[in-house]
Amino acid sequence: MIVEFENTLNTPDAVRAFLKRLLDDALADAVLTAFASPHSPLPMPTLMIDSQLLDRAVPLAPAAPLNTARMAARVLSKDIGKRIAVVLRPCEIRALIEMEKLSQCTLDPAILISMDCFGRMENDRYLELAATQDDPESAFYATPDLQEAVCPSCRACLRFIPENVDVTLCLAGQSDKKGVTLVSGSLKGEKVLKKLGGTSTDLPLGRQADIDRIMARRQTHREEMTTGAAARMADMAVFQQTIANCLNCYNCRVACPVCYCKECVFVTDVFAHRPEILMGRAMKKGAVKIPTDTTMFHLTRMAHIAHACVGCGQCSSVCPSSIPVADLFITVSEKVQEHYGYIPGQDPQRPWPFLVVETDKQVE
Amino acid sequence: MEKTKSQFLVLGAGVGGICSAIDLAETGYSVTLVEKGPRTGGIMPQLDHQFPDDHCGMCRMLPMVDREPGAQTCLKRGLSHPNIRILTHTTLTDLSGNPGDYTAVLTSVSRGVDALRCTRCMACIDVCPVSVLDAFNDRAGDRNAIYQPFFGNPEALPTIDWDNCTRCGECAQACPNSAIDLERVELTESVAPVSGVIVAGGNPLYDPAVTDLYGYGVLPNVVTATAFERILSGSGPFRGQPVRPSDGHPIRRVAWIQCVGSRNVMIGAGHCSSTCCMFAVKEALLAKKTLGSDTDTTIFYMDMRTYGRDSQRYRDRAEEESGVRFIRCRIHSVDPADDPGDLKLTYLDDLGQPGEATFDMVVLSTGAGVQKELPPLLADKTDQGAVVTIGPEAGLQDIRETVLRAHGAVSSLLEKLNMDSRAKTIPKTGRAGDKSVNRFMQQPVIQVLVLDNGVVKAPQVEWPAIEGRLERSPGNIFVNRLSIIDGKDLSLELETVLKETRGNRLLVVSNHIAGYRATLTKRFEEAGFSAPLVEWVDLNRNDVSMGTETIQPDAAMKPIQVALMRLLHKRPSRGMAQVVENSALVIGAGPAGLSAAVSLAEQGVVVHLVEKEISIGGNGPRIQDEHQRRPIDQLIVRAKGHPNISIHTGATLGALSGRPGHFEGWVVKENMEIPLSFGAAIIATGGTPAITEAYGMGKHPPLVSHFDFEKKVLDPRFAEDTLNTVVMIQCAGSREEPRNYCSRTCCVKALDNALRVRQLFPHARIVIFYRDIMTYGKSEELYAKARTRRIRFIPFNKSKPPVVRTEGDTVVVDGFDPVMGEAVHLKADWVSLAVGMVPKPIHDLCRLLEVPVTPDGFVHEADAKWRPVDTINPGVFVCGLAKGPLRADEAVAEGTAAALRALRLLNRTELAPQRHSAVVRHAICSRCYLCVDSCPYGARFVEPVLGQVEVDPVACQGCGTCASVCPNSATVMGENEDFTVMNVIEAALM
Repeated sequence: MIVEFENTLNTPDAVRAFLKRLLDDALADAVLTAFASPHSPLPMPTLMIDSQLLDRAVPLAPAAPLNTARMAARVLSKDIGKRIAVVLRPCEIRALIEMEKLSQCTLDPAILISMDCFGRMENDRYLELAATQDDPESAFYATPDLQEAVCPSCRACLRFIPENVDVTLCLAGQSDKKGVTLVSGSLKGEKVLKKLGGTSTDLPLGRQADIDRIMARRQTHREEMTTGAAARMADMAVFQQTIANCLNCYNCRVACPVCYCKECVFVTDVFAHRPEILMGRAMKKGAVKIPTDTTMFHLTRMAHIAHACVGCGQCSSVCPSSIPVADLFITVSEKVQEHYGYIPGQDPQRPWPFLVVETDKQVE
Repeated sequence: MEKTKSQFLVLGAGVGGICSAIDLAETGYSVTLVEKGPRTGGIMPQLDHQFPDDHCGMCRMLPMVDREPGAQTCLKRGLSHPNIRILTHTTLTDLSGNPGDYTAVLTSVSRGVDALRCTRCMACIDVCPVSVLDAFNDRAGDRNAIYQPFFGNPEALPTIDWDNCTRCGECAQACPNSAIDLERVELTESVAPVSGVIVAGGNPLYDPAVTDLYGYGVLPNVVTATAFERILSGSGPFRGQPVRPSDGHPIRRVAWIQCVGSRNVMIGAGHCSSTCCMFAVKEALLAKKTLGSDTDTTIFYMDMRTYGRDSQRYRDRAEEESGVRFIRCRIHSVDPADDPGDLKLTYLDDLGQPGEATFDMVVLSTGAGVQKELPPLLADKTDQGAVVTIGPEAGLQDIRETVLRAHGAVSSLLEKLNMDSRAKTIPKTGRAGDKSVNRFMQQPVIQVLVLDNGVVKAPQVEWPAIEGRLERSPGNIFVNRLSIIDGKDLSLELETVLKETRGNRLLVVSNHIAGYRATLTKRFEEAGFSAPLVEWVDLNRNDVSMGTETIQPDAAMKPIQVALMRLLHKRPSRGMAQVVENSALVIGAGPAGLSAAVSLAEQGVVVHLVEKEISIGGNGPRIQDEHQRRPIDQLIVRAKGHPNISIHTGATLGALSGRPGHFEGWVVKENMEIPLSFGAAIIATGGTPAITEAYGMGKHPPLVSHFDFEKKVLDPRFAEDTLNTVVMIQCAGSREEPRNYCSRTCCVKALDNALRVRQLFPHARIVIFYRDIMTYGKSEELYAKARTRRIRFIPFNKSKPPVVRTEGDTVVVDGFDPVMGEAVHLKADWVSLAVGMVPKPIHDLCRLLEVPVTPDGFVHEADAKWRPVDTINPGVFVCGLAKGPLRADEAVAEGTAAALRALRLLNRTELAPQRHSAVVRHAICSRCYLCVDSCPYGARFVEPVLGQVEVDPVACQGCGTCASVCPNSATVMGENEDFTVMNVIEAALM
C-alpha cells in the first residue's frame, strides 16, 4: 500500500507528524528515533512515549553518532507486549535482522520504519552544519552539495533503499515535493497505513530516476573505495602498515552493530598474556610491542563478522587513529558474502552460513 | 575403570571381535583379544568409505560415555583400551575347564622384530629383496617379506612374513639396533581363569581365482571389489592416483559384476552374500569421486538387494544424481577387447537380448567364501553357552549386522554366566583423595624423566645440553636421567624417582620410547600420575632428528617446549561425578522391547516396561508361523514372571527430565501419573503393516496384504476351496517416494506363501511380480527352491508396474513378462500385495527423549552402521521396528543388543566428569545459541529461566564445535581453552 501523507508540510515535518500519529492513534506504544536533546544538536536514539516531544525528533537528520540497531535490540530484547516503532537507516535494519537471527532481539513487537537513505555525516561535520543552520535536517535534503559530504561508507553504500521493513519513507524523488510518501512492506505495515487513512497513490514520480542517479554515483565511489582498500591489504606487511596506528582501543568493535558479543574475546583472559609469553615473544624477536595481538584482533573480527557486515561505517567513524576500518571490512565482506551467497539483512529466515552443514540427509 | 577378576577371551580382531572386546571392556571386564594375523581391524583398514555416509566411521565404536580411559583416535591404526590386552600372531591352542572357569592356552608366533629395540626406522623394509603380492591390497600391489602391517601408524612395529622370508639376513644387517631375529619362535602361555569366549573369526571372501570366473587371475584389469577399493585408496598401491593395473592408463570406464561366487549353485554357492550390492553402489560412487564424475560406472546385476531402511534411497541417488548405470542381466563372459588392456563384457539383458560393452576395468563383487569350520576344541563347548560365536551361520554380514551380533553375543554370554556385572565392577573415577586428583589441584611442578635408551645406537642425543636448558627454563622443573641398558631392570630406580619427586606433572623425554610406553604408563599410574598428568616426547622422530646421526639440542627443545606448555596448562576436570541408576525404561513390549527388558533384568537391572496397548507382545501374537512365534511367547512368559520387571500396560511416557544415568519422568496410565526414575531408556515402539491404496487395495475383496494372505493360507479351510491363480505383487506402495525403503521381510514372506500354496495346490498358477527379490543371506535358497516349484517370477520396473483391474466379479492383473517377451493377463483368485511395514507414530516420544526421527518416521540411530542401537542421546537406545523394518527374530536380537549397550552405561555406579567437556562462561555469553544449534551430539540445552546455555557433560564428546562457533570464547573446551591452545602453538613456534 502506498500513501501520500501530509502533503502540506515539508518532508521532515510530515515524517514527524506520521510518528506522532502512531502514538496518538495508539498504533504504537513507543517510538524509537533520533532526538536532539536540549544540550546538543547531535541526535541520539531515544525511546519516546510522549507524542509532544516528537516535535524535537529529527528522524531524517543526516547524523548517526552510533548504530541505532544496537539500541533497538536492547529495547526489543524480549517481547513485553508493547508495540515499538523503530526508525532506522537501511543498514541499521539489516543489522537488526542479523541480531534477531542471533537471538539478540525479537522483531515481533517492532514496527520497522526506514527511509531511502542519503547517508550520514560524521559527527563533527554535522555539528558544524547545525552551528550554521537552524534546520540542518531540511538544509541537507535541499542542498545536493551537502549530500556529498556524508561519510565514506555511505558514499559507497549501494543498499540505501530499505528492505524487510514494515513502512518505507520515500525520500528519493521527493526533493521538490511536500509531505512524504509511505510504502508498506508487510501486512503489519499495511495495517498501520490503513489506520492512518491517507489517500492511496503511486510512488513519487522521480523516485526511480533519483535512485538510479544516486546508485551510479555510489558505484563509482564504491569501486574507488574497494580498489583502494584492497591495495591496503595487498599482503601482510602492507596490512600491518595500514593498521599501524591502531591503539587496541576496540572502539570499532564496540561501535559495530553485528559484533554482538557481550564481552569481546580480546578483553578476556584469552589475550591477557602471562608474563612468560610476553617475555618469550620478546626473547624471540628482541622486543615485543604492547598491546600485542593488534593484527590478530582485526583479522579475528573480520573472520567473525565479515559475512554479516552491513557496511554502516561506524567502525571508521569512531577510530581515534583515523584508520579506514570500514573500507577494509566492506571490501573483505563483499568477497565473503559473495562466496557464501549470503547478504546480511536480506532474508530473515536464512541462518548464518556456518550453521548450514550438509548433514545426513535422513535427519529431518 | 578398574580391571576385574573376570576375564574373557575374544578370538578374532575384526569388526565383530573389536566391537565385542570393547563392549566387554566397557562393561567392566578384562579382555584378551586374540588375532591370528599381524594386525587388528579385519577388513576395515582396507576400506576408506562405507555406505551410507561415505565415511569410515570405525572410530564410532569407541566409548562415548566415560570415554577418557579408552580415548584414542583411529581404530584403523590399532586399538588401545586399558581393559583389553591384544595379542596378534596368536592362536588358541587349547581350552579346558568349565564355563566361567576355563583355562586357555595361547600360542604366539614371534614377529621377528624386538619391540624394545626397533626404532621404527623401517630400514629393514627398504632392503628386503623379497616381493610378494600384498594381501592388504588384495593382490593389487606388492609388499616385502618384512613389512609394517598398520598403514599410517608410525608406532606400529614391522613384522616378518615367515612364509615368504628367505632368511637372507639383509634386514638384520640393515637394522642399526640389532632388533631383528630371523628365527621363528613359538611362545605358549596359559590364561586362566577365563569366564567365557567369543569367537569372531570373520568370514573369508570368495576367491574368484578358484573357479577362474570372468578371467580373474588371467586378465590383470579384472579385480575384486576389495582390490578396486585399494586401487582407489590414498593408502593403496597407487597412493590415491589410481590407474589401470595392466598399463597405467587412466580408468574411465568401470563395470561391476554382481554375485561373483554367490547365488551360483553350479559352484556350490547357493547363498546371497548380502553385502555386495550396497558395496558396489558405494564403490561406484567412490570411483566417480576419485576418478572424476564423468567416469562411466555400470553395475551389472540380477537383483539389486537394497534391503532395509536406507539402501533404496542411496541407490536411487547414485542412479539419478550421480549417473551410476544399473543393468539387469546375466553376464556371459569377459574377454580382452580389441584395444590392449580393454575388456569386453558380453551379456543377456532383461529382455533376453544379447548385449556387449567395453570397459577399462571389471570389478568382481565377490561375496562370502567357504566358511571356516569351528575348531573342535571350540565347537565342543558351544553347547555350554560360555563359548559364543558371532553369527558365522548367517554368512557374510555387513558392518551393521556384525556390530549387532557382537553386542548380542556379549549380552547372551553375560546372561548365560549370570553375571551381575555391576556387582563385579569397581569404577575408580577421579575422586578426592586419589593421588592423581590431588596432584591436579596443585600449582604445576614438572618432573622431567630423561630416558636415555642406550640400547638404541642411533640417533644419539646430547643429553647434558638438553638437561641444562630444561633446568634453566622458567618455572619449577626438576630433571632426572635414567639409562636403559640391555638386561637392566629400571623399576627400582624409577620407583625411587617417582617416590621422591616434588613434581606433580611428568614429562618423559627419550630417544626411543615406543616399546616402553605401556609399561611406563602403568608404573606412573601406580605412583599417582594418571595419563593426563604425563606428556611424552620421543626425540626419535624424523622432524626432530632430520635424518642425522645426532639430535641437536635446538631441534630437541621444540617438542619439549610444546610438551612443557601443555603440562603447565593441564587442569583438573570440573564438575562432579554423577550417580547412575541401575534401572531402565523400556518403551514398547513387542519382540524387541521384551527381549531388551528380559536381557537387562537377567543382568540385575530393574526394568520398567511400558506398553501402550492393554496386552504385551506387540506383533508377536499375530505371527502365524508357530515356529517363529514360540520364542516370543517365551519372552512374554519370562517378562511377566521376572522379579526385576514391572509391566505397565495401557501406559505411555508423559514427561521426562534428567540426563543419561539419571532420568526422571512419569508414566501416564488411565489418568494416573506414576513417577519413575531410571538410568537409561530403550525405545522399542514397533511398527505395523503399512496401509496403502496401491493397485486399488481395499476396493476389491481378492486384493489382500501379504500378511492377510498368509493368514488365509494357513487357515485349514483354504485348502478346501478351489484355486486356479494367485498373483503376488511386491513393493506395493514402497521402494518409491514417499515410502522409499524396502521393508526387508516381504519377499521372504511372499516366497513362503507361494511355497505353501504350491504344496496345497500342485496345479495352481502362482505368479510373483517383483522389482528385486530381496532374499539376502540364506533365504536365497528359498528363492532358488521357489523357481524349481513352477512359480513364475515376472520382473517389473517401478515406472511400469502391473495393472490390477476388474472384469465383472473377477480381478485381472495385466503385466508384461520381459523374459518371455509377452503381455500377461491373469484372472486371479487372490492378489497378495507386499505392503511393507511402517513405524508406530513416535514424534512426541522422540521429542521427549531428544532423539531425531527419519523422514519416514523411524527413530534415527546414532550411526546406521557402527552404533546401530544407540541414539544421539547417550542414555537412550533403540531397537526393533521403531528403527527400521526387520523380522521378529531380528527384532529379538536387536533387543539384546540394545540391552547390552544400555548395560554399558548402567553397570557404572557413577559417571566421572570428563576433562574434555565443554564449559560455558555464563557471564560473557551473549545467548545467541549458535552453539546449541551446532552441537552434533545434542549435548546443549537452554535453561529456561535465565536463558543460560547448559551442557550435559555425559553427552558432550569434547569435539569443540561449540567453541569454534562461539565468537568470544564464552564456551570453552575443558583444559583445551583458547589460551592453552594458543600458548602451545606459540611454544611450537618459539
